[in-house]
Amino acid sequence: MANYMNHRLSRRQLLEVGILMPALAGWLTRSPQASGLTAAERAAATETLQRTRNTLLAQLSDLSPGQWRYSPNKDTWSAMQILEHVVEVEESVFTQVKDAPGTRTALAPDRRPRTKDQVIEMVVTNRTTRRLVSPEQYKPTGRWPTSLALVTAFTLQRRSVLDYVTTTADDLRAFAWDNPLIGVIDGYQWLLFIAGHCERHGQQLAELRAMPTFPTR
Amino acid sequence: MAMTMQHVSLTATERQAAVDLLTESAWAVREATTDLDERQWRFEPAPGRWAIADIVEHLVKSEQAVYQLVTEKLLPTPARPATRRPTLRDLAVILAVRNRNVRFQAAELVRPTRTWTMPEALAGAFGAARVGTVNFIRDTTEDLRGRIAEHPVLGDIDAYQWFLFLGAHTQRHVDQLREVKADPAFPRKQMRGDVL
Repeated sequence: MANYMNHRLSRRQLLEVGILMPALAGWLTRSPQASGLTAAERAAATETLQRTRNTLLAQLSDLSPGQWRYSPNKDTWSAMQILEHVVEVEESVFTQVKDAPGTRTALAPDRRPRTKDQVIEMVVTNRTTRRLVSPEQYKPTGRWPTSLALVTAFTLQRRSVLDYVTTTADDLRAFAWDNPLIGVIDGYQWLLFIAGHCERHGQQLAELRAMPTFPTR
Repeated sequence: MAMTMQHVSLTATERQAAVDLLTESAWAVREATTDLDERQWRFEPAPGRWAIADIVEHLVKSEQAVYQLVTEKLLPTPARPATRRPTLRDLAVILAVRNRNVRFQAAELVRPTRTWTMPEALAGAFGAARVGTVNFIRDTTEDLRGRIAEHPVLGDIDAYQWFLFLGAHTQRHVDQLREVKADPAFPRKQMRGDVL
């Protein structure tokens, strides 16, 4: 009979106690017995989350106050509105991802979505085939008073997601819920959605900046 | 009494959506390849990049491959229950396939091999194959939603979505084809009296 007082700490407990350096923790979560994300999955998600953040920030870094708030008509968002929307969606999705292991039933391997990961980006970054309208709850309302506050919120929010991708032991592939555009996708794919959605709006921002009526400064 | 699966044909809306997509994309190919001369068919925009003839050969092969997959491999198998079906949405299939910002190498089976002698016959071959596809989708009472096959790029999709893929895939390559025609080096149509 097992002696519970003497049992070795599980990998999860070691991670939670924080005894191990993050690199070593990463190595442990790569082991085939662990149910969390693989190193390749973490690397792929990190790459796309970083790249899309950097691309979006590059579109915003040199904007004057007038340029931040410029909108050609009531149906076209300003840079400020675009970024607010991106942050709202990202906050909401990230909360759903973190809450999933505690609130949803883990799916057996043969019950999980069998949509390939690359589809997320392919669907979400397509802005030409059909025009899509944001769900009401994610439409910008002027929540942040200044562009500085908004950009800070965005970078901090993205930092949280990146840290989570690196360190989480959550078995994100085991939890799946509906994305209204794509269908039911798993928790890891929802993280890819954050990146793809950001890229989509980066494209929108580039279009806005390219308009002849965009203020020159 | 034996248990039987509920037999489910396409809805009228589904059927019409697929017919429209397949018909419109076929017209787009025809419109883009009407009146091309031999040099235009064979023009490569860059070394190793597909000529219009390669694109259309690829479309012919894709049409045949998908039609055979559905009719010969999937339909003879039993339909899957609703709980075991793909979760990818129909619109997502179309959006994904139409997105040329993400590129892929064509699978071996459908890669152009330039085995034809007259490139203009390719357009006719595609049109004929597409007519067969449209007739099938228009008339079938089979349960297409219950038959699933893994797509190499998309993952699991049902037989109906394989036809949506076919239509969107055609559109994708029409976009590519138009780019070839818009290339500054694309040969002007040879006219009688041209000095070559």
